[in-house]
Amino acid sequence: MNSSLEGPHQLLEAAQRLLTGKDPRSAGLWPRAAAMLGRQALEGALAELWRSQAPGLEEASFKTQLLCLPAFLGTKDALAGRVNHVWWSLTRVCHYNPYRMSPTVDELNDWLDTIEQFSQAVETIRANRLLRNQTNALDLKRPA
Amino acid sequence: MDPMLQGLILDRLQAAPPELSAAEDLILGACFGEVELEKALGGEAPPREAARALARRLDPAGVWIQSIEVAGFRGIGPKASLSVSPRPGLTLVVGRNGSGKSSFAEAVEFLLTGRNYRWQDRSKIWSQGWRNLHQPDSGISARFTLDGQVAPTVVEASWATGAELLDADRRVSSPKKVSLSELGWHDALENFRPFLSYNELGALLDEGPTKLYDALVGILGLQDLVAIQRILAEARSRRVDLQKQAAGTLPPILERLARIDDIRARTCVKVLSSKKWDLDIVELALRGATEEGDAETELSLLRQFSALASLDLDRIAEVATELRTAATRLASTAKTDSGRAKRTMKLLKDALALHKHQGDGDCPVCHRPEALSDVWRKAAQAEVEVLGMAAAEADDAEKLAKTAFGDARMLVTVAPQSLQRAETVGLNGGELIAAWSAFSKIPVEDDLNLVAKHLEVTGSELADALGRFRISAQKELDRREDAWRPIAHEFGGWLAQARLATAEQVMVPALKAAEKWMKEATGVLRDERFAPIADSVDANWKMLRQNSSVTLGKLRLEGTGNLRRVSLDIDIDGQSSAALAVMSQGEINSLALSLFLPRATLDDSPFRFVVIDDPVQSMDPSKVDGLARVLQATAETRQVIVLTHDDRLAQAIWRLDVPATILEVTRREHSVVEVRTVKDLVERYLEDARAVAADEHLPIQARRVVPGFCRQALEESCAQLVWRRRLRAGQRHEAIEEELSRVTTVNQWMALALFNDSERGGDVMSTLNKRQGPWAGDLFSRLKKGAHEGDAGDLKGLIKEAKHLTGFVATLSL
Repeated sequence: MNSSLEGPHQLLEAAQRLLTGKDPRSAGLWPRAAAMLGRQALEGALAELWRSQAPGLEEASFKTQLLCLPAFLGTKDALAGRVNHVWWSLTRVCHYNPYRMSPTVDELNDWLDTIEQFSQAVETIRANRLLRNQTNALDLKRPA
Repeated sequence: MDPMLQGLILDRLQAAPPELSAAEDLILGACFGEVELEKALGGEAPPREAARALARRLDPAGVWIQSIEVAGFRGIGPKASLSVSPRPGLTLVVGRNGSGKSSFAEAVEFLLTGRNYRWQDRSKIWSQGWRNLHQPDSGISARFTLDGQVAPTVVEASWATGAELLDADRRVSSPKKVSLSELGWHDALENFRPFLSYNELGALLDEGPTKLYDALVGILGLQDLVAIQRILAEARSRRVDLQKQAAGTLPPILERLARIDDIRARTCVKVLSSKKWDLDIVELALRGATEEGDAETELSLLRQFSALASLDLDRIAEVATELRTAATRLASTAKTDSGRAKRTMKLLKDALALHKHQGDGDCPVCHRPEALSDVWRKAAQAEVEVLGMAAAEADDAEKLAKTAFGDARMLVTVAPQSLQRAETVGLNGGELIAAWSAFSKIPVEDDLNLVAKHLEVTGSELADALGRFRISAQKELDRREDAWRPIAHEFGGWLAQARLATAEQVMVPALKAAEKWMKEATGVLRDERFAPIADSVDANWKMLRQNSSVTLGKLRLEGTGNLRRVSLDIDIDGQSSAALAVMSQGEINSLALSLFLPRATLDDSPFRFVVIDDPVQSMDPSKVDGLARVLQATAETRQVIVLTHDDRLAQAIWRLDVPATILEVTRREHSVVEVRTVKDLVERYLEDARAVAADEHLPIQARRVVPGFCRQALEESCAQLVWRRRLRAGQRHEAIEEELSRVTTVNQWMALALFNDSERGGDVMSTLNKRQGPWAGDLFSRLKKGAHEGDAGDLKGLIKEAKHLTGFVATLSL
């Protein structure tokens, strides 16, 4: 419904603000809040990737989406695997889990960092696709 | 020493049997330390009254923690504070590792003790890493409530720029008039250790029964008693050592003595070879080297020989002359018949008297007529005169001869009997004895000239023999002195040492008796003091063991010295076993807590609080329930502060309805540490949601996060319900945990809550709509979606409805 409200980048920024902020009103809740924002940024980046590369896949379950990820990201930096790991870690924080411990700053920084890399990778893929589309369009227009 | 222990010792001493009296002073002396013990050993009575006075039991006010404030210390940057109620109860401080929660515990321990058990062996890491990188100004303080005092006691520590950790200025800042040492907590901190670091406790168990003994004896304050035993034992061994040293230096001396042919040496060897030394005899023998007049020994014999009186040859010459004169006189009067002359003289005198009386007449003897006439009278008178002179001369010569012979006899002595023993001291007395015997054989007095000659000849021979004998005796004496003198000097030193040792030995039996008494008293006091602890340990273990097959036998402190140990009898499934080897780490940790919680909470301790760091590590869930119960029991009378890095304990506390305050510690970047109170977990998530929704500075966060928080609240309420339901059905913790770990979506949680079946997610919406109305279904969808994509709608309304829905879940049947 609101995926258009903020892009992954804005969500990551918002998460980062929680980590570095000193507002006592967010005491205690910020780790899980940041985790939720991080997960939404990740999911948003996934959706952007699918809309550009494989429209319709964004409707599949996240488990499926993550399984498809390596096919689109390749093996560079093992990014797909790391994204997968981060999503599951964040999910554990965002759902009930038996030992409901908030993540630490270090863990969050690590996760947000991976999401940032993923988001940039998606941006690059989308830009390349756009470029290719434009080239293709030019090719089509060019007389044979 | 601990005043209460001292009182107990005094009480026991008063009841001690009278034969202990010598040892009693020693024990009392030892209570005051080595110096007083030595005084008591010297016969000085120990300060009994002072001991009594000291023994009056101190009763410090109970101490409770009110708050701990930390800045720039360990994991905490800007000032953070942890407040707790200064009364009995359980406070759980929950936070991830590195959240800074332990820094609070470390701070309060450092404030009170000036150190921290956990890092005392890691001084290097600690000396460099104690300051927080994000906050160079370090300061810690803790506020304590003391029973009976309105104003809190604040202890604080601060550091100068660049100061080391241990350079901290620790002080009581309020009330100002009290110093840290005046609080009187020092010994109690040692003995009761209200700070339990779980790692340390587990390690202590691993280190074996002797270390464990030491740790537990420390609790009982028995180390003071052990110290007294040690002081006594050292005093005794010092004395035994003196004896040993004397005995040790003796053999070479004895060896040298044995080589000396000297009665003193032989005496000493004989006396010192027996078990008990008669040092008086040794001393006499030693003094024999310098003093006269001791008992008849070879030495005195030699000395007597060397001092034999010389023969007076001048006198012998005098007497010889006298004898010869008398002889000459006798010879000259030899023709005179002195008796006849005297008788004739008497007859003539009688005749003269007759003639005088009767006048001239006939001879009355021969009757010759007219024989008595005047002419006869004149001739008779002349003859009387001549006869008298001759008789006197003969008498004189006789007298002279008698006197001279008497004088000669006077000169003659017999050889002293002791000469017969000359050979026993290595001298030849034969010549002297022969000379003496010849000298003493004086001829008959007939020929005084012969007597004179005898005296002169044998006398001179005897004088020569005497002189030679004296010289040989003196030589022998000198020889012996030369051999004896150096060893006598050395031996004198040894004797002084042996004298001291022997004198000190006198106190050894009393010291032994004192030691024995102390050992027994320690054993009795140990058992008395340990009994309540052993009972608590037992009770704690029963709660903690839960499903463990390990049964703990009665805990006992046994043995002393190198044999001291804690006996831990353990039974596994009815089989007795060698304790710790077969226990899991979780069981060992539980046992450690069972052991050390009672120590920290003894009534003798002024500390009404106990701070336990991370007790949950490696415990299985059922043990965590047991732990919660143990903590609950302890918290009835004590302020129990537990720091833990995961939520299992909090969960158990919630499941078991243990009253507790839960504080969550989180640490942001730059070491910003925050502490907040956590109520019910469902309520916590909803509060988080409200806080974000109300914060105008966080518009993005609010839209994005609030649905997720509400969903967590809903899942939490479902999980709580299901846990209760499963536990009530008698399922094991492990099984429940395993089942719930597979529940991943809010749909599954809701299905589990509604139908007790996570597979029936498809029926959730319709059931919610049916039972609660369409709002519930709508809300459920909104939460599911919003958790991923955010929610642009009315967040406050969303939270309100979520609360309502969690309330509904809580009412679902178990």
